[in-house]
Amino acid sequence: MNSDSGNVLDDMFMSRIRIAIVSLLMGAGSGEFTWLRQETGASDGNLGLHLRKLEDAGYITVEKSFVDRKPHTSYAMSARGRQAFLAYVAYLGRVVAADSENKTH
Amino acid sequence: MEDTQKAFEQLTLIREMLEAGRSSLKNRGGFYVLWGGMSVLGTGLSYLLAYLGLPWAIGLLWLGLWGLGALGTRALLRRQPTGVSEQTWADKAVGKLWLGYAIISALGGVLQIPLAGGDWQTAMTGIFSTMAALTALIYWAVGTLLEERWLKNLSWCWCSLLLPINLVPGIYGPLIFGAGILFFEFVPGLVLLRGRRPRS
Repeated sequence: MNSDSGNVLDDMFMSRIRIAIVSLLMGAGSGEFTWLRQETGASDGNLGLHLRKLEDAGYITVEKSFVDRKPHTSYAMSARGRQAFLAYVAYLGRVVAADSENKTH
Repeated sequence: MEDTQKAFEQLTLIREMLEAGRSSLKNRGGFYVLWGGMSVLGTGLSYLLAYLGLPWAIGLLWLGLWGLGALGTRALLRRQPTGVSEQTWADKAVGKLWLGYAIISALGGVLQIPLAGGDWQTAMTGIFSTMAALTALIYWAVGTLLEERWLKNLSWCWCSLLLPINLVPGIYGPLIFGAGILFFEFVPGLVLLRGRRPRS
C-alpha cells in the first residue's frame, strides 16, 4: 500500500497508533492525553512520541492550560490533518472497493 | 491482496476509534439524568406550591433549581471522559433548555397570573404548555443536528403532552410535565449511562 496515490499515503498513517489517535480526535473533536492513552492502550512514552510526530507534521494542534492549578494538555485535529485523514480514508475505501470489484469479475 | 487486507483492517480500526470518540460526546447520559432529576423535583415542588396556594413562588423555585443544576453541570464537566472542560453545543442546548424553563416559569408566575385575571390555574396551563413545547423544539433541533432519530421521536412524545396539559385543570400541569420528564428524559438518560462503553 505505497505511493501510487500521491500525497495521501504519507508516513503519518503508516502507524496503527497514529491512525487510532487521529480517528479518536476526528470523532470527539478534541481530547486529553490521559483519554487518548486509555483508548489507544499505548504507553505514555509511545503515545507522546506519536503525538509529537503528528504535531510536527501539522496534523494536530496542542493547547496547554491549567484547570484547578493542574496542567491540562488538549489535542485537536488541524484543518490540514482533517483533510489528510479524509483523503486517506477515501484511498482505503478505493483499495477495498477495487479488490471486491476484481473478485466479482 | 495483502494491501486489501491491510486497508480493511485499518478501516475497521478507524471505524472503532471514530465511534469511541463520538460516544464520548453523545453518551453523556449524566446531563439528562441531572436535568431530568432537577425537573422532576421542580415539577413536584411546583405542584406542592400550587396546592398550598403559593403559585407566585413557582418562578422563584425554578430559578433556584436552575442555579443548582448549573452547579451540577460544572461538576459533571470535570468528569468528562475526554478531560476537556468544555461543553459541546448539545450539552449547552440541554442547559439552555432548563434556563428556558426557569425564565418561562418566572415570567409565568409574575406576568401570566395577573394577565389571566388572577386565575393561576389558567396561568399554570400556559406555563407548562410552553415548557413542553420548548422541550419538543429543542429535542427536534438536537436530534436533527446529531442525526439521532430517537431524539426526534422524543420530540413527538413531548408534543403529545400538550393535549393532556391543556385538557386537565392547571394544577395538574406540573404533574403531567413531571411525568414527561421522567419518561422522556430521565429514563433515556439512565439507559444512555448504562449503555456506555467501558473506557479502560
